[in-house]
Amino acid sequence: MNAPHPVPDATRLATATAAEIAAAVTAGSVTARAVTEATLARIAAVDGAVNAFTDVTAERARARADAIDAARAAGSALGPLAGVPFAVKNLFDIAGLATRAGSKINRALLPSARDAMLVEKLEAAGAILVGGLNMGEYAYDFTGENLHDGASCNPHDLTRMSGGSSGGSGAAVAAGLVPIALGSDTNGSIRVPSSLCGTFGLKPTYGRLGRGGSFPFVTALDHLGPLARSVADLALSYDAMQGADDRDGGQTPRPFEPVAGLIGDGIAGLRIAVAGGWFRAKAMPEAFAAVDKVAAALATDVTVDVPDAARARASAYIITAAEGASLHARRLADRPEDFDPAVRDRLLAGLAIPASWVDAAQRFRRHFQAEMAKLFEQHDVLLAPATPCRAPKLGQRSFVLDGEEMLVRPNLGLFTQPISFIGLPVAAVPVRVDVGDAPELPIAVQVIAPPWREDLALRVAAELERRGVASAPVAVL
Amino acid sequence: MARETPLPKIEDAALAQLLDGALAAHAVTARPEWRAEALSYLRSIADAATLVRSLDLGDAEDPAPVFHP
Repeated sequence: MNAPHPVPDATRLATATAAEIAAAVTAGSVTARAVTEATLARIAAVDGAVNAFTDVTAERARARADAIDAARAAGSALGPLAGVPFAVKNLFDIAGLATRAGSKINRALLPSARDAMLVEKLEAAGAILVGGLNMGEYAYDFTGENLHDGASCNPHDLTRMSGGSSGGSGAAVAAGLVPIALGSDTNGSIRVPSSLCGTFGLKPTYGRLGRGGSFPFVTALDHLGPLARSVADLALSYDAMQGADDRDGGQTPRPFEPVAGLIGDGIAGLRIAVAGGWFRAKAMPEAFAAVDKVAAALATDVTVDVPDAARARASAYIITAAEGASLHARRLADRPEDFDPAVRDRLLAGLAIPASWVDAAQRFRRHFQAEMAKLFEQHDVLLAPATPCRAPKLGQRSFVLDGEEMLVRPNLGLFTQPISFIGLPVAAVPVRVDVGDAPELPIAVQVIAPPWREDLALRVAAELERRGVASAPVAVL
Repeated sequence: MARETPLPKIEDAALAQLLDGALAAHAVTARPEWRAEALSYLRSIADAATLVRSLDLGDAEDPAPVFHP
């Protein structure tokens, strides 16, 4: 093994942001190999408690790091993510591994012949894949619990949920194991773990980033995106991942629209409003306090009603259940015992949904999209809670919201589902408020923008970070 | 023009028939406890569908599937 040098700097950089790591590697103050070794060492030391990783691709990462160091030594230009470690939810294809998608069944698949599109894009920008991450089975989850691999634990309190279904992604970033992780978000699976684990997260516009080489859940609603501990890292990785994907038939052709150079533009002139109605009803006080804190920092006192959000959520629920069941129908017939029961029984219900219900939901989707477009004629950005509460305890089945006892598993996403239903871009920003139980834990706010305006959501997120209202410190473990 | 047209709650017996028919059609053998859980989920889905379908969008609104020719 090459001697990592200088070791103290690499060890510090193992928990640094992607931007810091790339700058240090590019400047030659540390080698990519040293950062990689420090990252692998931290994963080995910490992940036993967090359970974020299901696969560590150590040898691949070392080879990649050596190639980057060799390129620098030869005077070649390095990419914007040179030497930055990252990991991906295990529904992303990793060449040489079976794409388990959180399941037992998929472990019998042949190893992937090729990486997922977004893995290829990040590595083309100089980033270094260090492994695959834990997730809820087949992404039908908001908790981060997994019957087969065990729960990924919340690094801020190991007795609590990481959130799902990209629970390992949230946990890995919050624990300082990697600065960037990729997740998927069908109904909230990037934003919920971001909220519970206290990371920044970006769910781009539906159809923006290529989904080629990722295991689907509900193709009508599936999005992919990054989680990170800074807005700049979200922007860097998002820019690196843009581009046409000939393996994704649902992608919308878009020009390259980089945001990294825009996030420092501030919020002057932006019309920002708080989402009311549905988004101010069923939640713990800390969820509303977080939104109010963000709104106050942005000097907005405007609240707007989002029309028919309950119906939007109901429609997303129907489409998810029907399409998810259809995807897994053959597996349900052949290997029903090998599913997590909490997933299987919902999929069985989904098999029985009449086509007319799905069609009604898809027709309402078009209607809701038009109604929200009218709202965005008056406002540039909307603010809403990401989750109705901070991280629940592992195994917790219910909570009380607005006096009503409700199941945790489906209802952690009650504020995220209406938004992803029509594919709007959202930045999740983690804040801390001294309200409610466990005030030391984070909770996130959704910064919601019109379609294709990721730049607006990230500008607001960056301003909140700059003012110290939002932050994602590495958890103390 | 969208118009609210309240719909009756779908009866439990109808949902049970729907589920049993679907499981048979998909050649899925479900244990009784799986079926009971699935039926409770189908109740929630049916209530969601009633809410969605109670907004009459007329005949003009296109559905929004994922397809790009």
